Amino acid sequence: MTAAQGLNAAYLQPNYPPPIREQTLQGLTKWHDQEALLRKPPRREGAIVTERLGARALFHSSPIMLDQDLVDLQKSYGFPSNDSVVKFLANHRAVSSVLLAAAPRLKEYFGHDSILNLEVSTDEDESQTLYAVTIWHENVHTAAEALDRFEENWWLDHMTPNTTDLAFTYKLA
Amino acid sequence: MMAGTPFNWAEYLRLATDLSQNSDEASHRTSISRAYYSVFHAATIQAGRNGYAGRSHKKLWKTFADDQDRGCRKLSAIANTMKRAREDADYVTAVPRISDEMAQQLAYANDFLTRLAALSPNVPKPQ
Repeated sequence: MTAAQGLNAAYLQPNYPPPIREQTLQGLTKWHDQEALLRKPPRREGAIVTERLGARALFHSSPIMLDQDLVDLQKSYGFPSNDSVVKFLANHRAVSSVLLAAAPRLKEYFGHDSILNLEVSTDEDESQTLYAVTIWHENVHTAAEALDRFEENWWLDHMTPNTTDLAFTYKLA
Repeated sequence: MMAGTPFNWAEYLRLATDLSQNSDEASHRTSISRAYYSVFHAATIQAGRNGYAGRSHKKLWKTFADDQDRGCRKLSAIANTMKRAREDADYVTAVPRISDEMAQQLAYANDFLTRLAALSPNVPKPQ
């Protein structure tokens, strides 16, 4: 069956939306499957759910860490699609609680609707740093000011030898 | 310059500032990168006076972060922000508003060097 025959056969099905006709600049007539045109794009939420399930599964494989920490962190921070952050958190247990405590303070200084992401940076010597990144749509100077206030009023007083693998920054959008 | 003459790493910040006057993105990316390395080397020299040795960026900023001196910890925070911007400038193909970011990184570098100069000479103390 050709594509045209297939479309025609589908068109003859009850309740099937009629095809849309397009007249091209060259004077040709094209028929488009209306249902395909109106079909919604893949839902981003689905991808996130899949990523979260994968991340949670990896988290469960670490018997020491608390699953609840990861669930709570994902309420405040976006995770990358790979498992780099979950692996990092599994190897740096003290970081999770600091991140959980930092989230409301970041929102306080950057704005309550600000988006926070976690990203792992790997140096040439394979050492890693976990960055909590605030996505920023406004003036860069206001981001720097917000970050400065967060550091001065909270972060500098919560740095410990166990949290030196953690850093906070912003990213312009 | 004669071979063996110590290089003045502050020249990196001068170069970064010069590059910022150009309009092309390659100059802006390189400006961000040189601005970071100007503070990296200045901080390495300061820490080296107190026994620090090494080329690791992570180890250097950890040395500052672990110090009891609050000024050292502030420098580690600024440096980690600059380090991340440097990585984006050198490795990420599309960086939004890079000229704005460059201006901020130059401001960070100048602020960092001012704060570093104000530190007590016996900090940071490597653990």
